[in-house]
Amino acid sequence: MTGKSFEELFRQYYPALVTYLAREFRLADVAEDLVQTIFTQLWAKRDKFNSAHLEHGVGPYLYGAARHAALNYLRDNKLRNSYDPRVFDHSATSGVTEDDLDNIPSAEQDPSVVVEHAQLEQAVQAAVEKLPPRAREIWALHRDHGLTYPEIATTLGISINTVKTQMTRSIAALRKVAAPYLAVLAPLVTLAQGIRSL
Amino acid sequence: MNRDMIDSNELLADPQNRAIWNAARREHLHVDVDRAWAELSDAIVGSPIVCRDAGYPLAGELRPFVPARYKYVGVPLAIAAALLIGFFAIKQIPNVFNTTQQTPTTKTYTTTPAQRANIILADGTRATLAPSTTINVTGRTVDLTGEAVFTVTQRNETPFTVRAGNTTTRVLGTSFAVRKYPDETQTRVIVSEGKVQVATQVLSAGQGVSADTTGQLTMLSDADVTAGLAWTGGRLVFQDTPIHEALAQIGRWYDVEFRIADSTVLARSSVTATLQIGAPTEVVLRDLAAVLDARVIRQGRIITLQ
Repeated sequence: MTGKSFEELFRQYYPALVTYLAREFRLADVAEDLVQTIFTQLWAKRDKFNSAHLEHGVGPYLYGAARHAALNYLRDNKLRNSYDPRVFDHSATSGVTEDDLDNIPSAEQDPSVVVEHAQLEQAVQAAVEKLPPRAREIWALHRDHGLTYPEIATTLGISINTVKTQMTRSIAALRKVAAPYLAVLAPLVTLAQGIRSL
Repeated sequence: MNRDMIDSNELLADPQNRAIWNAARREHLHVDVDRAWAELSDAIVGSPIVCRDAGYPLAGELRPFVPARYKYVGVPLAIAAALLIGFFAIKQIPNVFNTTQQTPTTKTYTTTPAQRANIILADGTRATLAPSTTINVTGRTVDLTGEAVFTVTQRNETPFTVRAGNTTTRVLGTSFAVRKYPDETQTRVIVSEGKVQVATQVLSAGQGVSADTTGQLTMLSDADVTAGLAWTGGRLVFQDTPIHEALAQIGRWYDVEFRIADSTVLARSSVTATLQIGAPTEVVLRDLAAVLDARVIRQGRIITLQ
């Protein structure tokens, strides 16, 4: 790992990892410090770092390190109330139950109002925030951070099928919340699709 | 279709799901990556600070993270390095874990004889330290003993200040060298880019000034300006330099100590020479002997000229 590539790696991943810790672990206050520490440690062991560590790419390695740091921080500071670590118990088959998904509050509806994209975005993003922690984390890694299913599976130490299942459930939950807006949007979306296919 | 959708093809075939997918787009949080990188480089440059060879990256193209080029020079330096690492570890840990703390703390960086170091300060300013140099950095203020080149990052209207001897140099954004070793009476400031203010005198690129202990300023000749910045290009240049000053400088760069009998003609001579900083000490001494027409006797790090 040369100096240049280390700097590039830092610049590429720093904002993403800070965002990941701030949003998914509610650690906005210490996210930057934790990510700095990860890169300091990475630099310290750069000589021992080889392609074996990067079998699944540098992304899962860094996200894995970040989440490890976050969980340690939460454990050391006993911040259970802000984040429930039980959902990260890998022995549990799934952190999400159908009940959790049903309990997501539905967005306010007002069919007489012309629905704009902004409202849909607001509703969907609020709903993402209310997904159970693990489902939300998987969603964020895929949607916001662009990790593939296999990369997410490596990062979280779970199977690809679990990732897939969680994504399917999450989108179903989000659909439920977004339904009132989608009803209005649907014809537009279909139209847009139709135009594109021409 | 972009990469992050590959796995969700199935899900996203549905237009409603696609609408949700698009609506869920969130940008990463805005963070100051430049500042973060400056802090990180500041924190980790403390470990491999020791270097000796001329192949080390030089001012203007400073890259602090080129570990293969660092060379530890024997046990004494390794110990010095270990002390430095310990020192920086103590200094850095509070910063690593509490970057929100804004109160300015003082950081100290030191090079021993024959070492150079490149440092990126918290504000992004790059400092290249010559051997036997100490800087104490508090915010945008630097106290210097020795010699260093600063390439200053412009930041709002806060000037960057270097104090050396009785001389204070203020700049906004530029590149310049300051030299004041404890055994020297003069403080020298040379500007390579931009403008700086030394006491009341404004200097432009290519100009240099020397200040004595009373604060009296004397402009340096073009030759002295060129010679004064040569070390950043891997050379030590002496232009009709008094021999004691030249030998003190060579001593710092090669970690040797010169002895010269005061009564001799040699002691009153001056030196005009160009030395390669990475060259083996033997080669340098041989060249020096030829230039001075003197006999050179070496006993460890003590060099006697006759």
